[in-house]
Amino acid sequence: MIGLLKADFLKLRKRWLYWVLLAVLATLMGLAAVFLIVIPSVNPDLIPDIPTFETGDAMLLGAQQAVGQTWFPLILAVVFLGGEVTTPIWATAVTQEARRWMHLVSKLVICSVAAWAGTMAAMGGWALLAALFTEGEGIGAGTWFEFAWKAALTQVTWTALGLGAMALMRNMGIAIGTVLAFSFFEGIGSLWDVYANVSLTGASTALFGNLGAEFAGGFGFGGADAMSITQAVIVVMGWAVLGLGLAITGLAVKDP
Amino acid sequence: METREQPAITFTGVTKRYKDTLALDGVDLEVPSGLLTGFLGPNGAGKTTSFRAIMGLTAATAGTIRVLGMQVGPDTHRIVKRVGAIIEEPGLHKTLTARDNLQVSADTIGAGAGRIPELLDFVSLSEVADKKVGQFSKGMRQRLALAQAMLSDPDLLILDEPLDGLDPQGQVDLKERLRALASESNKTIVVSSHNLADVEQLADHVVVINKGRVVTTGTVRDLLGDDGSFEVKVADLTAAQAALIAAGIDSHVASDHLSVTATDGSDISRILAGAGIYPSALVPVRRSLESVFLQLTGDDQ
Repeated sequence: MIGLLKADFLKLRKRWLYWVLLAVLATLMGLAAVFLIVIPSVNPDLIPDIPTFETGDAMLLGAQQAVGQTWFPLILAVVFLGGEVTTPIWATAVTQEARRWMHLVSKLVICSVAAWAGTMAAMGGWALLAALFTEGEGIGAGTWFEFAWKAALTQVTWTALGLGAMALMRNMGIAIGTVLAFSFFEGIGSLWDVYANVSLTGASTALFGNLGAEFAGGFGFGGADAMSITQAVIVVMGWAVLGLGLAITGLAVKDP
Repeated sequence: METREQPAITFTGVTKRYKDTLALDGVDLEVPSGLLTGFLGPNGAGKTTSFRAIMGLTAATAGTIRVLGMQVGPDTHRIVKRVGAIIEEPGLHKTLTARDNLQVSADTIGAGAGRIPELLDFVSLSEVADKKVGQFSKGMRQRLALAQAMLSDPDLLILDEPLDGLDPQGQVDLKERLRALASESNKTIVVSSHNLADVEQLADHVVVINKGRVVTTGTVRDLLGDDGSFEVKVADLTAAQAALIAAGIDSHVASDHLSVTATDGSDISRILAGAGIYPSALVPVRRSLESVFLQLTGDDQ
C-alpha cells in the first residue's frame, strides 16, 4: 500500500493536472476575495450591496468559499483515475498489483490529501487578505483546526464521488460533465425540504455555517438551517461510502 | 531443451466467451519453464485473450489457469508479483520521463529503485532516461516497457506482440535482448506474434493457436523437423535422377540440384555411389514454420 501511495504521489506531483487545477482555484478564490473583501474595504461605494465583514467572519466566508469549490476534488479525482483506466496504463498497473481496491484506496488518499491541501491553501490565502483588508479579531487555532478536519471530510467525499463516476463511466468527458451536473443540481436539491436532510451540499454548508445567507437575503441551503454538526458529519460520510461503493462496483463490473 | 520442471503455465479446459464471440474454446496447454515460448496465431486467434486471462485482466468463462503453481483468480495478487507483462500496448505515462515511469512501477510493485539504472542500460535507454516518454519512438517505448516488466526480476515474462509496429532495427534490437535474456537467465519468457519468422527466430517452444483453440504445441525443432526430402547437388543431375528412380526413390530436378524424397540420406549416398556418382552436397530440407502453420490451420488462413 505504501508503494502505491508513493507511486500515485509521484504521478500527482509530476503531472500538470494538479498544478493547473490549483492555479484555477487560486484565480477563482482570488477574484472572489477581491470582490467580497478587498473592494468593500478599499472602496465600499464601488459595490454598495456587499456588506463589510469583520475579520473573523471574512475568514469564515473564505472557508465556505474554498469548500464550495466542489469542482476541484471532483475533476482531480476523475482525471487522475481516468488518465489510467482509459489507457493501457491501467492494465499495466493491475498486472503489477492485482488488488483493484488497493489502487482505489491509494488514489482516494492521494487525491483527497491533494484537494484538502489546495483547499486549505485557498483558505489561507483568503485569510491573509481578510487580515490585511478587514477590521476586527481573526479566528483562533481551534477554529482553524475545525476548518481543517471539516474540509478533509468534504474533500474525501467529493473525491470518492469523482472516483465512483469515473470507474463506472470510463469516459473522462462524460464523467466530468456528470459530476459537475451532479454537484450543481445536488446544491439546488438541498433547497427542497424533503431532500435537505440528506443533501451533501446542505451538510457541507451546515459544517461551516451559512454565513453567505446573511448577505443573500436569508437565501441559504435548506439543510444548513436544520442539520446538527453530528448529522452533517454522518450525511457527508454516507455520501463518501456511496462514492466508494460506486467506484468499487465500477471496477468490478467494467474490469473483472 | 525440454525440462522436467513444473510447467510455468497450465490451461485446463479454459473457455472465454465475449457475448457472441468464443475467444478461447476449451484450451488445454502447458508452457514449459525456463524456455522462450512463442504463441503463434493470426490476429483474433486468442493470443491476447490468453495473456489477459493469465494476468487476471479478464476472467475465464470456464476452466482453470495455473501460473507458477498458483491458480489465477484466488492467487492472482501473488502471481503478479512473480510475473512481468506487457499486454497489448505498453502502459506508460507519456508525460513522465523514462526514469519516472520505472520509479512509478518500482513503487507500485514495492521494488527498490536500485535496478532502474541497470535496466535502463539493458534496454539502451540510459542516455534518454530523463526525457519524457511522449517524445519516444514506438521502439523506445517497447524497450522501456520491457524494462518495466523486468523490474521485479520476475520468473515469468509475458510479452504480447512485442515486435509489432517496430521498425526493422527496433525488431532486431528487441529480439537480441529477448534471446540474451532467455539464454543468460533461467526465466520463462512467453512471446506472442502473428509473424511466423519472428517466432521461428526467437522461440524454443511454440504454441500454435487458431480460432481460440490450440492447434499444436512443441519445440521448434520438433515442429519443423525434417521434411522427408533432401537437396542433392551432383555434376550430372540426369544420371543421378535415373539412378535414384531405378532404385525406387522419387526425385525431380530443380534448377541446380535434385530434390529427393527419402527417409534416410544414407540410402541416397549409397545408391548414387553405386552408380559412380558422388554428391557435392546432400542436405535435409527442413520445413519452415510457415508451411507447418499453413498445414495445421488448413484453408483457414
